[in-house]
Parts: sequence; structure tokens; C-alpha cells
Amino acid sequence: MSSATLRPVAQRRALTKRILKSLPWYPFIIINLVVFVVFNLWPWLSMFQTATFKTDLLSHREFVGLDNFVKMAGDELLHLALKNTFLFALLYVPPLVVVSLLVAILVNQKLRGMKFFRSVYFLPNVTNIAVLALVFRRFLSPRDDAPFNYLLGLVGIPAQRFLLDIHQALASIAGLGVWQSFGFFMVIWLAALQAIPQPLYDAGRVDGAYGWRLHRHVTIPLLRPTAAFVVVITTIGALQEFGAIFILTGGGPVNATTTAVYHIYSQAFNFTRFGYASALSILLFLIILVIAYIQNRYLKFDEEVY
Amino acid sequence: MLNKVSRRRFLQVAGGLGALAVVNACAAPVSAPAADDSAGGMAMTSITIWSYPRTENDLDIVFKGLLEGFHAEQENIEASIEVQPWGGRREKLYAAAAAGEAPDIWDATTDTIPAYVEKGVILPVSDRLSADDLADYLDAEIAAASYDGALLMPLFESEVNGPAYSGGLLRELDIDPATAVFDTWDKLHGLAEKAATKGYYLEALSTFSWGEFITQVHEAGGTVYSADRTVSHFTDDPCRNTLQRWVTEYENNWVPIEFAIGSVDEQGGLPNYWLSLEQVTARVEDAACVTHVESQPDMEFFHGHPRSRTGEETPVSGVVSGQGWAVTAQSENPDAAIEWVRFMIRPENIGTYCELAGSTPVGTRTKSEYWNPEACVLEHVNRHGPALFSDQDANTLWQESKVVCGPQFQAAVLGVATVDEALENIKNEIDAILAEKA
Repeated sequence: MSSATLRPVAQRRALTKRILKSLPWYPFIIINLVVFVVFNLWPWLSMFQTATFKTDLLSHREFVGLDNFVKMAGDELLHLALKNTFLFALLYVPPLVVVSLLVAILVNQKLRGMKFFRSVYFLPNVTNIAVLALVFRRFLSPRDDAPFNYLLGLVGIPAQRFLLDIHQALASIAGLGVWQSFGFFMVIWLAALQAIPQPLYDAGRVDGAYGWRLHRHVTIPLLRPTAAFVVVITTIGALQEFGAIFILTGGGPVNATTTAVYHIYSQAFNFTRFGYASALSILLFLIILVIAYIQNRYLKFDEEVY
Repeated sequence: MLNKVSRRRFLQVAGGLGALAVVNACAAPVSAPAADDSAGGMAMTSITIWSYPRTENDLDIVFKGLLEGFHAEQENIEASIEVQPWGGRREKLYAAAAAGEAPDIWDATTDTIPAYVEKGVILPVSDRLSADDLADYLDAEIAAASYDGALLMPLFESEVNGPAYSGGLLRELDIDPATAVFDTWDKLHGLAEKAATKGYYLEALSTFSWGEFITQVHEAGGTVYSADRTVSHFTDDPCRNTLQRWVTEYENNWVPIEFAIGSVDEQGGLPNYWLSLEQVTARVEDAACVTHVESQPDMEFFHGHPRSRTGEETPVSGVVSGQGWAVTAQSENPDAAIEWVRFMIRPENIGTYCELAGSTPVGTRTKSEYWNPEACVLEHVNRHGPALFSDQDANTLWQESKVVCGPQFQAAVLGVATVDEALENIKNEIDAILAEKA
């Protein structure tokens, strides 16, 4: 028998051996696969199907093709909700990225008590949003003696209406979001900061870079992959904002805080338009997909930096 | 000698067992063999009842004795009660019905009757209950539990609401709470002006409080919906007068501004000015005269009066609202389910339930013979019960109305739109929904 005919047989044997060897590990994959299919893939595919029906998921089910998507063009509340969603992302993402980075740089200093501050800053992140929202409702009260208005009064700024003002409500909720989340992203930044090799700083100092210039030319360029990750994740979170709005404003005042997800919720559970709500979910999914793709492409998430 | 188990082997076995468990959990359940023989040799029928908590342990405190009584009478029916959480109860019921796992009976709320009918989850029971079964009910209690002439959920509990006064605050305003009557809007606003001089609020109005809006429209002599539920009356005078009243109260700071936004369900973080003795009147439910005074011992609780806009209209206290036993259209044992309903709506059992649950019963005999409330609760029920209304407004588009009107009411009370603009917008949207559902 020639070596040419032996090779496929040997390859087959090797493949069989490899499969047999890895067979016991498949159950681990199956567990995740079943969970993924049942709780992610199947509902996700169902959403596409439901979007082509006018249905309350119970008694009424009428095939309408793409009507639910066409209907979006005339849905003025959807247009406002999308505008609010993008505005919220603008009010939420940049401050969150900057604040969490600055705090991470601060708590990365080798000073006494830093572990305590790291824990304190992380605390809001592990607190339930419902609890935070109820506390902030008191803080953001329009009364003169409410905490925020009292502080503003100390520096001569008149009392604000915050959640009751159509121009301030969304920013107030974004502020709550930043306060709740910056601790989590501080930890991400901190991990990235601590992963930067010390010799690079030493080399920077040899080249004459100290203080801010050291961060400008060493720290910040090396944090780019982390920055990309933080920006993508916070943007996705901002585009899906719901909890604080549901509890604090119910989409008001006068729909000023109605975001895309709140609109989807309302269409599904207040008006039982599950077909339309599914179509809206697909739209939001596509929007997030495109934005994440663009961010990923331009922020170069997976590029090696050193 | 013990065999050593390597980490790899352990993980393999654990993974295999885990996968087996997942596959097993996903497999269709094997039906338990039917308990087909009872003591009498008759087939047993099982029914499941969903209820919602009134006490810290309803199964023991409320239902134990009632279930024993039911089983003693109905030896061939095995009733089991599941006490479900209040939150998301409607969505959970719809989901269970869609999945074919609805209970046989549930404790339903009157304001959602049209939604239950529209979704096909509720079974009409008019033909299954006799006149004798329903003899103790008032006409309004039957009407509140019916839709298009069909009785759907015989009530066992009502929520009698109406206005009350904070007596101490009235005294501070040189008003004798024992004799004062604020039963028209003018009188009420006169009180508001006086209260404002001392820094007190008149009442609290939420822009998402649909029940308050329809009550005030009835005080103004109108209805929000036509009797056939095909058109709304938002641009008619009673609705206009009502929203104008809200705007006046917000503009003059007679009501706390915080309540202008947010859903009624999520207002837990807002101050309760009634209990902190900064608000002179409030809409309260029957037991408030006990619970509010318990939580605020300084409160002097006085019952208010049914109101009308000018005194010319029929005075009303609020909308009939209550809980009833509803049989699901998906029930496989509707006859057994009806037996439970028939048992539970007997005056003595309604009385027992409400005594144990601390709620207010329906029915004339029930109230007089099987219910022993605190004197103030009885006074509240006797005063406001007859002034409750029940018509199409009580159960037409309740949730949708609230969600459509809320933002427009906000626009009006916050000065973003005029009353007429807000009501015009509401009418367009609500009439479109009515047409969609027709």
C-alpha cells in the first residue's frame, strides 16, 4: 500500500480519535447551547415572526406582512422616542466614560484608603435601580428644601424642576445613570491601567515625559482598546435605557423621557400591540447593530497597541 | 483502596449529569396518574385558583377554613389555591392562558373586564348561576361585574372610595370639620384658597390617575365614553371642565407638583402629604379611617361627602371597583369551577373572606349579617357606597386611556398645551383606538 492511500486512513483515525477524546466535553457545550436556544435564539426568531402579525399574543392574530414596519413612518411618538434615545446616549456616554476614567486614575494612586474609595464608588452599581430611583426622586424634588435645590440655593441658583421640566428630565435621568454606572466602568479602567507595563512609563520618563504628558503619551494611547469597549458597552446600555424612566417619570413629562425601549414596552403592555412592539424591537436591534459596528470599526476595538 | 478521581474525570461526569438534567427538564412532563377513585368511587376533579395576597399568609389565614368547608361539600372536587403576587398579574394570566396553563379560576379586577373579554380568557357565567345565587347583590355590583349584559366575575370584595378631610387642618383654618361640607367644586376651591394661606395642599392629583379623572367627569355630569363604547366625549364640557379644574389646581399650587409625572404604580418615593398632615382632603378607601390613623396618630379623620361640580348634577363618590371570581375560558373543568364560585359568593362566605382578609364585602345581607367592621369603616361604606357609579367609563380602555391621557394632561397642567389642545389630541388618539377595536 502506498503512503498516498495510507494518509486518508490515518487522517480519519486521527479525527475519530480526536472526536472520541473530546466527546465527554460536549455535554458542557450542550448545556449552554440549550439555554441559548431556549432563552435567546428561539424568542429572537419568534420576534421576527411576530413582527409580521397584528396580535395580542392571545385571542387575535392577523398576518399583516410588513405593515408594522410601514406604520413606523407615521408614528410620531416613535420619532420622538428615537430622538430622546440618541439624546440620552449623548448625555450619558461621554460623561460616563470621562468620569469613570478620571476616577480610575485617581483610585489607581498608591495612597492609603484607596481600596475603601474603590468599594464606595462601586456601591451604586450593586444597588437596585428601583431603590436608587426612589432616593433620587426625593433628591430631585422641585421643592426649595429638596437636597439638590438646597445645594443650588447655596450658590445662588434658583430652585429647578428637574424631572418636571421637559428640558431637564432626560438630563436628570442621565445623571442618575452616570452616578449608578461609573463605579463599574472605573473597575474596567482600573484593570486596564494596572495592565500597562511599568517599563513603558520608565521609558517615557527617560524621554522626558512627566505628569500629564506621561498620561497623554503613554496611558491614554494604551487604553484605546479598553476605551473602545467602554464606549460600545455604554452606548448599547444607553440605547436600551428603561428602568429609571419607568420608575421616575413614566416617559414624561409630556413624553420628554419616552425612549425607544419605553415606547416598545408601552406598545406591548399598555396597548397589547405585540406585533408592532416586535417590529419596533427589530428596528432598535438594527440601530444598535449599526452603531456598534461603526464604533467598532473606527475605535479599533481589537487592535494590538503594544 | 480508594480510586482517585481525576479533575478531568470529575468534570466530565459533572458535565454529563448537568446535560442530562437540562434535557430532562426540557422534556415534556409525564402526567401524574389521575386520582380516579375517591372514597365514594367517583372521579376526582381538580381545579386551580389564583388569588392575590391580602394578608401575610392568605393560605392559612384566609383560605384554610373556606377550603375545608368547600371540600366537605364537594367531595369530588380538589381545589388548590395559589397565592400569586399582585405585580404583573394580568400579564402573567395572559401568558399562562397563551401557554395553555391558565388556572381554572382567578381573582379578577373589574376595570380590566373588556381586556379579558377581548383576549378570550374569561368565561361568561350568567347562564351557570341562578337568580338565587345572585340574590344578595346590588344592581350596581352586578353591572360592575358584567360586560354587554353578560355576568363575568361575581364580586366578593369591593373598594369603596370617597373623599375624607383632615380634621385638625380644617380647625386650623377655622372650619368645624364635624359640620363642614365641601360637596361642590366652588366650595372645594374656596377651601383650597384658605389652605394655601397656611401652606397646605387641597388634594393630590396624579396625571395618570384615570379613576380620579372619570370620577370628576361624572361629578360634572358627563361620561367619557358613549354607552356603546364607539366614541369618546373628551371635547365635551364635562371633560373640559374637569381638566380645567386640574390646571387651576396645579397653577395655584393647590396640589403637589411632584404628582404631575410618573405612573400611579411607581409613586412610592413621593411624599404622602395627607399622612404628613399637609393636605386637607384626600380620596381614600374604606379602611383608611383605621389604617391612616394607626400610621398617623395625630390625624383627625373625617368622612367627606359625595360631590358634584355645581350642586345641580348627581353627586358621586367614585367608581365601583372590586374583585370577583372569574372562570377562565381555558378551564377544563368549568362545572367544578362554577361550584367554587357558587360556594364563595354565598353571603356567609363572602363575609368570612372579607373579615379574614380585612376587606369590604359586596351584597346587602353580607354587610348586615356577616360583616363586623370598625364603626368608621361602616360609616364610610354607608356614606359612599350608594354614591359609587358603574357604567361604560368604569371599564372601557382603562389602561389605554391612562397612558394616552397622562402625557396630554401633563402638557395642560405644566403649561405646554392648552386644555382644548390636550383634549383634542386625546380624542383623536382614543377614537382611533376605539375604531381599531370595533
